[in-house]
Amino acid sequence: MSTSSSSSKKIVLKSADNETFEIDEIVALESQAIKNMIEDECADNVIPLGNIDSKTLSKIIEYCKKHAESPKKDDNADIDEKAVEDLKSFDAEFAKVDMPLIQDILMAANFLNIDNLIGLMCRTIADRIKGKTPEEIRKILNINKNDLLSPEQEAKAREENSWAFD
Amino acid sequence: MESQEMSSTSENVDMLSNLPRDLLSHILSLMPAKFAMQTSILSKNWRYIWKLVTNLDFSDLDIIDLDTKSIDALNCFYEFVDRVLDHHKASQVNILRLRFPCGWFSQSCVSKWISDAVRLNVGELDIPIFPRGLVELPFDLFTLKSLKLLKLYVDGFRFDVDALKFPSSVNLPSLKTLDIYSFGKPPVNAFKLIHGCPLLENLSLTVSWCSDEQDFVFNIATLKRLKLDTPECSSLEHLFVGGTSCPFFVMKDLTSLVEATASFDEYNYLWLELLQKISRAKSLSLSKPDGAPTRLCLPKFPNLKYLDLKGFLRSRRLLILQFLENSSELERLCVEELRGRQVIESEAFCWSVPQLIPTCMLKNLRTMKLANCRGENPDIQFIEYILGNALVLKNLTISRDVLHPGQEMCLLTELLKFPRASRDCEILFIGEYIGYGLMGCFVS
Repeated sequence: MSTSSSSSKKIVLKSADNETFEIDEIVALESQAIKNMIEDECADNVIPLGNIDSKTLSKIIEYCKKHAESPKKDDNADIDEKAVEDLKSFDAEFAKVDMPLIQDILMAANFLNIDNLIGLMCRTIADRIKGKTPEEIRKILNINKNDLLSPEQEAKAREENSWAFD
Repeated sequence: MESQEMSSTSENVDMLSNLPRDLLSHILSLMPAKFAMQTSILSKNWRYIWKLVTNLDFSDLDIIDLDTKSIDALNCFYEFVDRVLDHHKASQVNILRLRFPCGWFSQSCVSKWISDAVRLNVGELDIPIFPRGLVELPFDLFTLKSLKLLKLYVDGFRFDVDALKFPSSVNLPSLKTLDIYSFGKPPVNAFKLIHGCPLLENLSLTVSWCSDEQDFVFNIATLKRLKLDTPECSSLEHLFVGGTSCPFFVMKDLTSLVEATASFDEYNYLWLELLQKISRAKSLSLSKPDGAPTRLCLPKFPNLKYLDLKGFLRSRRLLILQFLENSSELERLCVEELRGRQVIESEAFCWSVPQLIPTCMLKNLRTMKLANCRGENPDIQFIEYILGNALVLKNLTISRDVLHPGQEMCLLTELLKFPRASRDCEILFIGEYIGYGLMGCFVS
C-alpha cells in the first residue's frame, strides 16, 4: 500500500488485521520502538503489530513519512522556516479526525514510541476538551452514563476544587 | 476496516480513561490547571485523575479580574493552589506557573508555594515575587537538582535578584534557562546564579551595573542563546562571547563596545550578525568558525585598531584581506593558525592579490604577528604580500609551527628574500628547534 520508489532498505509492518505495509527504513525509524528493534537486530523482515489495525497504521505511516522527509531541527541551525510551517499545517490537517481514531493513533503512537505524534494527539485531545462544559466533555469522550458521579459526590468534588468551577 | 483490537472505540467505554496514566497526565498537563481540575466531576473514573497533572499552570487570567470579585474569591484561589500542591500525587512537577497581581498574597504564602515546588522537584518555576518587604526564597531552591527553568517575576517585571537573600553558593545542575534581572551594584546574586548553573543554555541577563575595573568572566560551554540587556549601561566596553554550536545574540546597543571576543565553532548567519553588532569595537578577537565561506560581506570596522584572527590563514586568507580592507584604522594584526593544520588544496589556489592595497596597510598597520607559521605556500604568499605592501610596518613577528630543522631554515631564508615596502621593518623570527641553533630570535 505505502510503497516508495527509492532503493533504500525496506521494512514491512503487519497490522492486526493482517495487512502489510512496506515502508522505507528511514520512515520506520521515526518510531523509537522499531528503531530499537532494528538496532538490536531483533527485527525480522516483517514486524507484526498485533494491536494496531490497518486504518490506524496507515495514518501513522502517513505521519512518519512526512516527518521523516522534513529536515530535522538539529541537522541545521538555519532550518528553513517554510519547512517548519509546512510541517505545522500538515500536523493540523492530520489531527482533523474523529475522537475514536485519535485515541487509537495515540495508543499506537505510545506503543511505537513516536514522541512527536504522542504530543500532537495529546494536544489535540486537550484542545478539544479544555474550556468545555462537563456535559460537552462527557459527550466528546463518550463517557458512560452509568459511570457518572452521584449528585452528592459531584457537589463534594465541586466544593473541593471550588476555584476551578467559578 | 475497523479493528476490535482496541476496545476503546466500542460504544459504552469512556474514551480516555483506559489510556495509560502517563498519557492522561500528559493531556491534562497541556491545559491550564483550572480546566484540568474541572475533569474531577466528569465521572467516577475521572474523579482523581487531575492529581496526576505534571504541569501546574495557574496563570489563568480570570483571577486578574478578581478586583471586582470578593475577597472570598481570592481565598478560594489561595486554598485551591494550596490544596493542589498538598495533594499532588506525581513525584515530579514539570511546571509550576503562577500569575497574580503584586501584593495579592502574603510573603509567607508565596514562600510556602515555592517550598512546595521544591518538595515536588519542580522542573520549571515561573512565579511572581514581591518587590517590597522581606522576600524569602527557601535555600533548597538554590540546590534543586530538577530545576531546569527559573523565572522570577514581579507583576510582569523582572525581579531584582540582588534584593533577595541568597545562600553562599548556588548549584543548579539541570538549569538550562535563566531569566534574571539585577539592580545590584555589582550584581552579586545574578553572577552567583550564573556561576552555579554548569549546563546553562539560555541566559537572559539584564544588569544595570558595569564597572571599569572588574572583569566578569563566565565560562559557559553549553550556552546557546544569550540575551544581554544593559539598559543603564550604554558604556559596556568588554564583551566575550563563545559557545558550542549556535549562540544567539540579541543585543540592542553595542555601539560603545571597545573590546569583543567571539568564538563560534560553526559558521552561520548569526556570526555575521554578531560582527555587525560589534563592528564599532576597538579591539576584536575572532576565531574562524567551521564552514565559513571564502567571501563574505563583512561590515566596516571604523574604530578597529587591534585584530586577532585565529585559524583563518591557511584556508580563508581572502577573509583576512577583507578584514584589512574594511578596517582602515587597523594598527595591529595577529593571525594565529592552528598548530599542525594542513592546507586544504582547493583553498590554497584561490589566493589572488587584491588590486587596491587596503588603507590600513598604507597608513596604520605597524605590527603584525603570525603564529604557527608552517612555511607552506599560503603562509609564504601572505607574508610576501604584507611585506611588499605595508608601508608603515614596523614589526613582523613570526613563530613557526611544528617543523623539521631543515624546513625551519628554508622558511627563514625565504622570508629574508622578500622585498619590504616599509624601510624600517623588523622581522622577528621565533624558532623552537632546541639544539639546532635557531632557537630564539633572529633580527634582520
